[in-house]
Amino acid sequence: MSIDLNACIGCNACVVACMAENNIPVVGKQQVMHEREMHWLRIDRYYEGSPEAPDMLFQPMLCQHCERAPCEIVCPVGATVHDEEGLNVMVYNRCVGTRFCSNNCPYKVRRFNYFAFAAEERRPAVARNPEVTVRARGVMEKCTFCLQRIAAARIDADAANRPVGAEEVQTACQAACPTQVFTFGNMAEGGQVVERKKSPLTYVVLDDQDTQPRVTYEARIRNDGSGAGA
Amino acid sequence: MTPFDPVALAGSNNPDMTDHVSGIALRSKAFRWGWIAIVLPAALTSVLIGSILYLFYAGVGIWGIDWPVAWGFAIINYVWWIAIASGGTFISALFFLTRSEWRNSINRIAESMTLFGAACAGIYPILHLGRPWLFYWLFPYPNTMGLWPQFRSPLLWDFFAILTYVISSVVFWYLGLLPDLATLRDRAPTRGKQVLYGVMALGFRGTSTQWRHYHALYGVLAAVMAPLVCSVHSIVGLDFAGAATVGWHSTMYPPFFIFGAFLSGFATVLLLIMPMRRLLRLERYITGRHLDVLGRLLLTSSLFVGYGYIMDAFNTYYGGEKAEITMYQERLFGYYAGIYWATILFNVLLPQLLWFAAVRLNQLVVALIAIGVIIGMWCERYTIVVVSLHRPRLPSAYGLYHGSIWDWLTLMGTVGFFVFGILLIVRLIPVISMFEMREILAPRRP
Amino acid sequence: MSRQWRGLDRLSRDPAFVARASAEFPQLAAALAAPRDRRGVLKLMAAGLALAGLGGCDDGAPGGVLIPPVLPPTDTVFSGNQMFATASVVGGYANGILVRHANGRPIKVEGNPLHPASLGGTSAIGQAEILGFYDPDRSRGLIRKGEPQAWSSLLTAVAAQREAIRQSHGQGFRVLTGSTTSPTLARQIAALKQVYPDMQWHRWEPVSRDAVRAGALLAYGQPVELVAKLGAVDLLLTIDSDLFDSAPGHLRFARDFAARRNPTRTDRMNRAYAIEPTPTLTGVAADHRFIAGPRDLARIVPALAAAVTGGEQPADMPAWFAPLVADLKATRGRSFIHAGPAQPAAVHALVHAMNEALGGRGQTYDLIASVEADPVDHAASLRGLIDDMNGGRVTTLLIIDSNPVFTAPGFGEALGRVAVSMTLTDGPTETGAKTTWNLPARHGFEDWSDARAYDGTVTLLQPQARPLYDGISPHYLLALFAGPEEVNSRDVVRQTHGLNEQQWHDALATGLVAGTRTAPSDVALKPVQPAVPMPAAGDVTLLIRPDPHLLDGRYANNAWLQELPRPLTKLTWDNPLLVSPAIAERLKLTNGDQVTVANGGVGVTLPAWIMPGQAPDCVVALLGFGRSDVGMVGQGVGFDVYPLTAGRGPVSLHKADGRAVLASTEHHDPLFEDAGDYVHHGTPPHSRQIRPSSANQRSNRRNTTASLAGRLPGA
Repeated sequence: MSIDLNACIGCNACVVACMAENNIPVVGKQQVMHEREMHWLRIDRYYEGSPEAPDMLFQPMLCQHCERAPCEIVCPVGATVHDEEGLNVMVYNRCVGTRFCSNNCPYKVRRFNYFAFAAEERRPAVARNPEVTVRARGVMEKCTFCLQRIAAARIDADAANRPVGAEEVQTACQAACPTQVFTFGNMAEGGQVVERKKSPLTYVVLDDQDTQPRVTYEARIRNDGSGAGA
Repeated sequence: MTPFDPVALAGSNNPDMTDHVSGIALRSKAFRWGWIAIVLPAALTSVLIGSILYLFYAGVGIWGIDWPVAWGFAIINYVWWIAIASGGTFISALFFLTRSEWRNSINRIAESMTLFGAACAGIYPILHLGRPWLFYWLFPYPNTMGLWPQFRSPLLWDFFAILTYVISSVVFWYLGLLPDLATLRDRAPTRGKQVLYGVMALGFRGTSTQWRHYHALYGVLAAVMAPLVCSVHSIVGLDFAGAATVGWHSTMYPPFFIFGAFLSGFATVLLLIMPMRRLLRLERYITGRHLDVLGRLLLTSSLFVGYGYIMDAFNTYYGGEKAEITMYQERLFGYYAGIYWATILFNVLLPQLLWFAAVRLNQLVVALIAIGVIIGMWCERYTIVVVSLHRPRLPSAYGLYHGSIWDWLTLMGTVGFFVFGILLIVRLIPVISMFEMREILAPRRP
Repeated sequence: MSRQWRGLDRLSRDPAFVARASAEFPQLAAALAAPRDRRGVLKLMAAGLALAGLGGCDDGAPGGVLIPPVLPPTDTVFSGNQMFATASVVGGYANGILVRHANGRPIKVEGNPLHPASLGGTSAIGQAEILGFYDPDRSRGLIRKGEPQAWSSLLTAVAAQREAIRQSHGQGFRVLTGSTTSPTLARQIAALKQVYPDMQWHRWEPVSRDAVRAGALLAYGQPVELVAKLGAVDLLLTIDSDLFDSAPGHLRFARDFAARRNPTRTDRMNRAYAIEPTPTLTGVAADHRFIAGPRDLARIVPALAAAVTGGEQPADMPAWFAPLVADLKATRGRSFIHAGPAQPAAVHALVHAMNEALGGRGQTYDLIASVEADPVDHAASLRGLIDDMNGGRVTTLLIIDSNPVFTAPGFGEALGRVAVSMTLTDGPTETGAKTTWNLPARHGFEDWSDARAYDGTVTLLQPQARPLYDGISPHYLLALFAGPEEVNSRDVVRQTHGLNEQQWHDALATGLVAGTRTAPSDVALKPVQPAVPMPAAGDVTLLIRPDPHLLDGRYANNAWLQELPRPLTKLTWDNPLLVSPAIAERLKLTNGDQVTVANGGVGVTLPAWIMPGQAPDCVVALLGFGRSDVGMVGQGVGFDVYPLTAGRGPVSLHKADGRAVLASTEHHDPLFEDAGDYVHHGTPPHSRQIRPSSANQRSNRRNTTASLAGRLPGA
């Protein structure tokens, strides 16, 4: 996945889309005060400069699906593993809830069900997406690159005896974003993601950790009037 | 009382010692203070049980853990207790191998401390799981899914380490009890007690063959336990060192945790033997020499731990990694700075008073220092766990942590359970290892 | 027979339905024909339909089948799910969406790539609409003065009302709605006016766009609306603007703007300036952001207009003024200036003048005739209504999709003097609690309607499910006031547009009626020089803004939107007063300290939150919270600042006792340094230098590519 920070306006449509697609529970004000909100995707907002006139920067942060994921090494039961397509997958049924993976994640994108948030949510069961597991109490969860959509595309591709197309799968965040911040695809088939990763603006967050994430960002360029630009 | 007291005061002899010690365990009615003393620990133990039941019912969210601080009191307490427990094993196993005589009279108390310390420590890794009823998945048992635990995880090493440690501590403790249980069986005033201690003594008769086997076994176990306690505590350190979290990823941690285990272990032993000495009138067998030695050991451990703190700072600043330095500054000046400085005060500064022999023999001051060390060690674990987690690498993920009421109740509950256990030991088991004392005391009354 | 049986019975006799169903169940036609099997089959059908969420059969539209997407969006393949087009209507304007169905019920909102308002994206509110559809607090039945009623009693009451209103030629009959672009609604009200000539149609939108309208009137004499073409814009200047977050067309504008932001994928990167008193999304997106409070803006905007149109260079302007003017002039014909709805009408008129002077008309923007149906000044409209209510001149009041008891101070009291008032709302509201009748509305996903996008394109709303609870649509209700016949909304909407079968089918499949984009207007700019009113001087200036996610409060019961961290403050479940760092310094405030802000005689006590980048004298109160009657999620959440909208007096701010704990997902005080380590940013000629400084960065990149290549098949 490639995230273009030049395009992100911070509107939060991707966050709600992710909540809708993945049955992410609402935890309520008390639990948000206890820092237990469950958003898999968050928009980080950074300030630079002075409080009176700061520079403000947005950065969507989600599971980076690291090739050398710190979370995979430390799970004692092997509930988070890397699949052959490059995703870091979370096996909810296997998770016993030691939360070491969350401690080890440098991006802090993992969320834990401290209470039975999904069961206690005030939402009828029919409102949930039937293609996504509803997580129980005590289980860790995180962005899955909309694995249910990938699986659906894989089924179609298998039925048609072809590989999954380069842009055949759109994650929920990608589909919802009004400014096309997210580019996601099957890199084995080429496509836009491969192009964007070659951009000179592409960088990896916390690359000194050598986690080799599959999510790269394109740096934000400010057209301040000096040099090239309109 | 002087530091040059003998290991057992002049005039001590085996028959008197055996009478005295077995008398404590076999007394037909418990001492008055025993009943009073047990009330509070028993209450705290029920608080512990209640907290655990509520935890299983409501979920781990009743504690204060959150995001990004996903580990809190449970891990802090676990490490704290296992360090306390390790102290007992150091005394019983490590100093056995050095043939130190002073160890013989405090050995039993130390091992009992290990037993209950390890018990208190061992429940926490299960309690802190999100789905504790599935804890057995960490055990490599054959199953229809062909699933093994994930062996690269430090938590799994921890699981094996603690399991081994608990089992071997229980075995070692029980083995060390056998001759004394036999003694109690032989001296039992009532048939009931005779049967009870007889069954527990497993038929130990004191024949020379048995003794030969016994000493060999004991030696082997001690030789196993001494490095085992070091390895267990190293693995507990690897719980942190094996993580990529800011401030944890340091090769210093395994030995540093062993130093901490020395420190808390000796402090707790001191804290236990001083009241016991007075209340059970064991001044003959626990003398100024013991206090002096333990005081010196406490001081030495404190110096080791202080060295660990200095190396922590050196590694951080020499390494120059921004996230590490930010987190370290947090330790010194941030939200939890008070806890860090309490650690330094209690673990490094206060024990320096023990340079003075007069201080080492002043039981009140030593008790205060020991309590300080125990609190300081808890604060050190708190700093390690919470401060590192609350300042991760991405500033957007900074967060705070506070222990909730249930965290505190569970902690107090384990303390109460520990004291409860020690009191039970005192009531039922000889508090001094009689057979080992016989090796150093005069064989007959003068 | 119960209603459900009646519905199914009718359905089973509908040859079209049977034909379609028989394709799925070949024996169905025969079974339905045989009397002995018929009841059994109907039972099974009832069960099946109930499982598919269609249990609440209504009597309308037998065979009213949803049109499947004949023209699916390109580049996407959906397997097993079905997508049906409709629109998310916010502030009256339509954003076309597709709703994805799984297991026969609507599950997810996706964008409609064919729709001009978004070209495929959605807003946070659009995504959250699905939760509103399933909200358990939705209205479930008629209530009259607190007592549940049967539908027949409504029919009787409305019949009586029709009689009474006809007697008075509509004198005393008032309809109050929010801002609407629906051609069908407008047509129905026009039809009502034919029948009742003296009736009045009032409008009230708490998040007012009156200044935009008035500005257009000042500049052009007509309430024209702006259609920005940001793809052609090289220089964008936004003044306290909502261009990217809630202006009509904001999704499209954001997309077009963003397409020219990445210098590696566009020939010419655009440049954006923002001048604003409080941070907005346009301010964050801007390359240069200048902070100016309302008093400063009242000076700067006329000066800017003078500089741009006439060439005068006024004195004592900030340092950035001259370079900005130079830049604007250098990009003549390729620049666009936009002002937000909170700016006064004079500012909007001046902005129109500047845009014309800079030659952008036709290039970077167009003006079109008003998309909003029958635009009026909302404040005047509501004031007139309240005055008439207080004067006893209103006998029948219909409130459709509006909540004036909460959003308009003084309305609640006046309501007591209206003989018969009806609220049509899809959930509990403060207004519904006070009017005579509380009528349950169908959710936007449950019925037929229409709306127009920001550029005038007509979008049809088709139901995504049978109504979950009994409800009626505004079209049904308005038709009921015209005559006794109970109409079907689909027929009403269809009648408005006069489309043939194929066109209707295509409109539903694509989500828009082709060719309904409003043509650009050629109305000329009037040579006026409006004076911008100077706001009253004072230590503190109070700005009242809609909450980014709850807007005026209508989404207060939507848990997703409540818990969604606001873009800049990361706050959830609360609306503290946003104070500038200077004010916080002066009053010694930290986040959470209680303050009392008063506007004239009206004061509200609420916690404070320090907003970096806000003009030094400004405090911002966010609307939409503190609702007393909204359902279990939003009840009592936050603080009601609507009373402040009534004040006209001087603004004061005092520290009050106590603290509140606020739930922000940024769990610490904001940091102001080293953001560049995580969010790399730079400027065009230095883009080479924006790579991180770690020495092995290049080898990391090699490793990444290598390890990724190692995973590709065939590598």
